[in-house]
Amino acid sequence: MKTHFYKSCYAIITSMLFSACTKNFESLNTNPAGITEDVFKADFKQIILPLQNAQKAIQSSGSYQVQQNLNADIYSGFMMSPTPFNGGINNTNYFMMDGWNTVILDVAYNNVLQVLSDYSKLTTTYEGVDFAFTNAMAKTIKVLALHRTSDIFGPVIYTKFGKANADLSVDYDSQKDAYMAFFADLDDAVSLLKPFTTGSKKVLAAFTKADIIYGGNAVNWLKLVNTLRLRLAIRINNVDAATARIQGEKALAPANGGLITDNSANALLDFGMRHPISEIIGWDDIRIGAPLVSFLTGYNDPRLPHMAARATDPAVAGKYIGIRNGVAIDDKSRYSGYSIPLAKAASGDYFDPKDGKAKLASAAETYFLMAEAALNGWANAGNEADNYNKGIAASFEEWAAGSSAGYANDNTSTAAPYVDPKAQVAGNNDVPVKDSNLSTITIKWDDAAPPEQQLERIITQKWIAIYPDGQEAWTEFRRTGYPKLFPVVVNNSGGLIKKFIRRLPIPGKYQSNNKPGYDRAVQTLNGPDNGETRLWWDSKK
Amino acid sequence: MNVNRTNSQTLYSDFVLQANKNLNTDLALSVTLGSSIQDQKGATTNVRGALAVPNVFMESAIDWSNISRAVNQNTAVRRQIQSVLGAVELGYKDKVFINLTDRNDWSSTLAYTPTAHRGFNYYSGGISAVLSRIFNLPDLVDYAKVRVSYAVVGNDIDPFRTRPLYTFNAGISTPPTSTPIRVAGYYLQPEKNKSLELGTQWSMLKNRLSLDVTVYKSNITNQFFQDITVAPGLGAGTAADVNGGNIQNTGVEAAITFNVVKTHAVSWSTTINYSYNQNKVIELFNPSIVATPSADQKYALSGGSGFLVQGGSFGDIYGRGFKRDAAGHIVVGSDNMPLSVNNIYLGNPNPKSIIGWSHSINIRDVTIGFLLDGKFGGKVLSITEALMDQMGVSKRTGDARDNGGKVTIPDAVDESGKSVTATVDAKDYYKAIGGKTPIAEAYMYDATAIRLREFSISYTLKLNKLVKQIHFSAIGNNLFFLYNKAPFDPEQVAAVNPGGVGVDVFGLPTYRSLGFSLKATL
Repeated sequence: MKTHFYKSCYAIITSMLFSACTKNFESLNTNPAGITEDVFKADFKQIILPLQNAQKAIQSSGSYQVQQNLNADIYSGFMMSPTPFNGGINNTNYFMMDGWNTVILDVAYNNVLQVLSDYSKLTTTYEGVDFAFTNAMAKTIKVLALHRTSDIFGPVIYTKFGKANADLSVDYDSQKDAYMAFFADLDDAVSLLKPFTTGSKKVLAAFTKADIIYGGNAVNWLKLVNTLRLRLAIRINNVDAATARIQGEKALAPANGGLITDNSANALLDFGMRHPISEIIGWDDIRIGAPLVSFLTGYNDPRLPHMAARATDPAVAGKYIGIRNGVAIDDKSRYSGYSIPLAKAASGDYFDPKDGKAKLASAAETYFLMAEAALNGWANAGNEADNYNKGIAASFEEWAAGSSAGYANDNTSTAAPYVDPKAQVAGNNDVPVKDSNLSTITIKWDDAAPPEQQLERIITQKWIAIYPDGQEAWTEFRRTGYPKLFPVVVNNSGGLIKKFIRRLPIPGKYQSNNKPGYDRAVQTLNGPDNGETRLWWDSKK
Repeated sequence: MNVNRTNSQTLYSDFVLQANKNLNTDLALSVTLGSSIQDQKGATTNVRGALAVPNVFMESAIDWSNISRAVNQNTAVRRQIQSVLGAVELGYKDKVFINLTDRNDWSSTLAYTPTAHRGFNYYSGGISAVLSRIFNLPDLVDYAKVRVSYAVVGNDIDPFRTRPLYTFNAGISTPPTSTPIRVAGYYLQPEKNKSLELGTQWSMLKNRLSLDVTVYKSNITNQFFQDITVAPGLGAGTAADVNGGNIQNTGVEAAITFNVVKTHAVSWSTTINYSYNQNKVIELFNPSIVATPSADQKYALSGGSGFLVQGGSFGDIYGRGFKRDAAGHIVVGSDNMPLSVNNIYLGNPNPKSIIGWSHSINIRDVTIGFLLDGKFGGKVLSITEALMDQMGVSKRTGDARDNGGKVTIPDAVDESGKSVTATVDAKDYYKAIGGKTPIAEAYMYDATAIRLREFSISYTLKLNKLVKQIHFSAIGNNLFFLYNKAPFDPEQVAAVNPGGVGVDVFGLPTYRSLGFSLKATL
């Protein structure tokens, strides 16, 4: 009798436990700190937040120092770090910091491509909503972020992202294939955006919040797409002139919506918080670069005080002085009193400690691209002199530097020689007058000058104008060889990098987790996977 | 400033029915049936950031414009496991025993997968025979037993992994850090550990000598790995959760105890424990993830230098090594500095064998005990040494300074393979090979270590008065090494993340402890 009672009791309890109980497993295994789909769906938050995150990842607040500041911002000559990281042996003197450089790809893959792929999936959860505008944004952001990544490493995982081979490897796009894919994505973006610019479609109010560059202005997005296309077309002109012309002329054709030709259409990404460079300056980890100050002082450039602060170090107090790339540094204090980089533009301080902006494309850049397009003889490019002078004027306007007329007419000033009074070995870092590394190009346009000199003039002014975006500046320097920059003083590449670094090697993490994919990617390079190998578009000898 | 608030709770309840019955004079049957439920909750809130005003440590005084601020809410654990279990034991004349168990678990952590509803079943079967009762063994054998068992143990996975969600950090949404690997049709599965054990236990010479030996082979399938590094786009970007394939451990465990002296006044007993284990990744991942993994793919375990590689062992350390020519000579660049290559196999941190030798000596009221312990095999990495080399504060940089400040790389060759005399400035050399991400090959150390793990002495004073006895004892732990080639205690690197095992980065040193006690019995 007693066992009978227990047995039935057991039966009741077990049936209670197991017939019904796995029902609440799903809610138990849902992270209470997470945002569930039904909640996330409201007010299009699951569309808005990933898109915002992907835009912010182009220059990622949390990772910017290693994503861009300790490579391109320095290699461009715009800046230099006073900090002797890793015992003074690091990226700045061509000893490749694998851990730093890993982050560049982590951000590109995890925070841009993955997030945008999530975004695409999330759009399918809504019915009857037109995502044309946000899809166009997504495509453009993808190109904006990944062309920068490709310009650092070369081959990049773009079209094959998330597509596993049978052995769990993922294939890269060669830089050439990646560029072709960029153009194709920009084509899609144009056709998605056009109905919004002709007034046949309106951007949904909720989506304006997703757009931290233009606040939902489709006309400006189309201009950005066209400027971006012109940028990429010019970039490949040395290596694939036919495609460059087709794409360049497409960007220039007025029927396609026009380019960013007015500072009001500049692509300024709103961090909504402190600019990462402002934070890095606070750590005394970045100062202005010697070449930038050399040009700006030599040219008596009124943009100088908007781009650099006066030095505070007693040895150079009150002067504008930058640090040369890859100089010997024993201690941070040696150079932390040199000029701090500033970015005080007419529209506000790009490095604002509360509301920083990342400049991704500007009217000035567009005019300089058009000047080069004119050199190439592309349709609708206008003429070189006109574009060149408009580029300078647009930049002066952007930086609230007054009229550029006198400046553009100066045909004598050249870059100033560099003297580093605090060099560890006196005189070692100096770039005196007549040094082969000191630029002699003047400002005033000369129609009679040989095309190569005209190119140098265009790129030198463009380089100043696109400050503080070191990524584009470094890329254009590698493509054209201009402006003339100072090579590193200390070279820790083991003799690998001869003069200027051409690219970053693919970091170890991306070799080990995807060895077959990596091995095939290296085959598409013009040489071994190191800092001396030139990228596909870097073909000028 | 960094504030963590944590709360956790575990509820456990079970219901067990047990019946024992002698079926006849020879056969005894014991049956157990039961069910249990376990419910865990745990949450952490982390608030950190730079202070707006120095020395004002309040959450409300955190500088919100500073990038380093963070507010994270984490639910560390949320799990419910429901089980039904049954066990049968059949004994024949106290000579032979047969055990069978079966258990089915349902775990909330497997929600959103087919396993949630069907649960996972595991079982065991074992047979043991007391030889000394079955056969007429020689008199010197007091007790002998052999046993064989096969057991499968199932385990669930970590909570929330089957449903990755966006979370927040200080109001900013962040995508999931990892997702189940994105392979069509794949879902996360419970772990299964199948083990076969053979063992024997002997007591001899009036119980003065006893021996216990076990050999085992276990195969863990579907071992759960979170945040391993995969190719871009196959997880949350490059981080994915996967089930392992087949990781095999084979080994021996043996203990022998001998009472060397056994008199009323004096006794001395000594025990040697020995274990040997070999670990092999036979199959990298669950076959539904990848049928034919490429042998040169390496998947980084979360948090460090450990990797999963087909054919390797769990926790293998890979890192930067010297570039070498076919003959193994170090290749130097045009500046005579060594060149390096990524992702070289550097060793495995786990010991091959462990030997412990303990003694207990009793002379009247005094007892002395000590334990010698040796771990043999394995290699560990010291980032600490690498950083100290770079800063020039290590012993070897000091020695290099004393020797003229130069380092010569033995048998160096240049990139064309021509042999060169590579003498470089010691400062440049150690700055280049050391640092936070060093040429790790130069900082691998043999993990073999022999130590006096424990020494104790105690004395009992018998008074038989108001205070009956007083007991004094002194005990020391981890007293000293008899042998250790690593610059740190290889045991100290008990990393939280599986990938960090065997890597020392300014880890807190293990410590020697000395204790005394005085006990009075009334």
